[in-house]
Amino acid sequence: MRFHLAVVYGIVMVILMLAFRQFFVMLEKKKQDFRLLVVISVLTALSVTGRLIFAVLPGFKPVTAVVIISGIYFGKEAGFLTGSLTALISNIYFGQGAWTPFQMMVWGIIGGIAGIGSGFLRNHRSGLYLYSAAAGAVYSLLMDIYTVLWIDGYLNGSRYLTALLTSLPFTVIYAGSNVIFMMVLRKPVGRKLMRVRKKFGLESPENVAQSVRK
Amino acid sequence: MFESYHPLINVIYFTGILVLLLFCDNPVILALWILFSILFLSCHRKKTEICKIITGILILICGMACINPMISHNGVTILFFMNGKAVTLESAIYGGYIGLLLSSMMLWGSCLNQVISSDKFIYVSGRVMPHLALVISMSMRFIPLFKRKASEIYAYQKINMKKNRPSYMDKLLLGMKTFSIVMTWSFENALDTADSMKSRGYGIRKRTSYSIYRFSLRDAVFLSVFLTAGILILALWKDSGMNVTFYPVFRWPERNIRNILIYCLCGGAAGIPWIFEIKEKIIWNYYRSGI
Repeated sequence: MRFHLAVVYGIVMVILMLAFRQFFVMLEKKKQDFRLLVVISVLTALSVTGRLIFAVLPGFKPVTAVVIISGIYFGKEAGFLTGSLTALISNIYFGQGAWTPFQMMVWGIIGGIAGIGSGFLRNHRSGLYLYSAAAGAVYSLLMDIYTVLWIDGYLNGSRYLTALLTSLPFTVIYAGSNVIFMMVLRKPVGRKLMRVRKKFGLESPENVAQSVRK
Repeated sequence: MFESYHPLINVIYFTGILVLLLFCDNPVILALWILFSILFLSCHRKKTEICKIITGILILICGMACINPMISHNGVTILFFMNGKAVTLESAIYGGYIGLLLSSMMLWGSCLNQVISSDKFIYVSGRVMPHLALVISMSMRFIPLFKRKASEIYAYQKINMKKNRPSYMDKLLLGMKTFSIVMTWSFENALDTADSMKSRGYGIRKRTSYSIYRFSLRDAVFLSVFLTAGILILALWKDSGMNVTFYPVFRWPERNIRNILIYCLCGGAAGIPWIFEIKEKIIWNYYRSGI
């Protein structure tokens, strides 16, 4: 009986459901924002395409960077949705499995947190780099927890350590690549998203007020 | 064929299999499931692919059986000592068992990909959350579009670079540049689409959508049989001693009628897609022989 694993799955599913619901409730409230849906599907498609383009270089993927950026510019709900849908859709290409919900949650949370701390991350460059490196590391840490839970049915300390050590080079490349992608993408993509927001009227009222004040 | 059943049935079936996989700790059942998934896949894939899958599984099982004793030193049957630590038979067996578990997971994953196509997936998720289904289907449409656009732009940029042999760094920068260009283009393109959808009245009323699926009697019968079998398995499993213990000593569960019934039920549940496949084949051959 993998009781712990079943419980973890239950929690993951509940988190995913709540987050999705939250997003659609927000959509209903705001009225305008069917456009936001399109923007999110574009962002998702872009990060999936990025993952496909860079599939030849193991561990080197723009996914986390795109997810974080979308969280920063379009809010926590959009960040979560982009992250989790990227996991879901890219696994259609890379192989669906029991890890999909877990991956959805992890990437979603990375995007969601970026959305929550968007003010800080937008203004502090080093903070942003640190966050994207940490996101890469946390992704590895959490996915290893999942692997160990699958293998032993509970969190076996020694196996977790071994899993961490074996995936260490991968984690380092991943975290490093996140920072590199952030350095390259931050400005141009940020500018583009700001432009998209202005041009297509996706600004939320408080943001407009903020930019006027600046 | 199992694919021709209602998508909801397919989804429920695979969810049920996943739940059973989570709860059943028994090598015989896992072996049965691996067998049936390979049989099912062999109806759809080439022979060489199936051979590759089987060798992959064997490598995985043997590899895990070798690696696990290095990590865990539980168990009482000591084979030999390495670096002063005991290498035990039990942990090797447990390693092999983990190999079985992982390979059955992967195999059922590819069976799922075989049965549940993306349109079925969108149909099911659309029933639960229509907005979500819209986002998923839109991004699935954008991906091939962006890929095509990206390869066009990449080819153009490569010529512009005027280098015969671009280095790793060059390729990387080129990749990033392409990504950035594709991004600009895709936002413009997608938001135009959004505007045109809006001007044609998206979101004014509840959308209806066409689907070719119908929930028939056959689906209902299948669903009720499958659910009964699943509940029966879980009910019989409870304190039946079917969970194999690995430490300190490896022990098989006892053989009694109840346990054999569980084996049959689990095997039957896993064999469903393959049995349907074979049934179709037999009927097909029967009609052909009549001509």
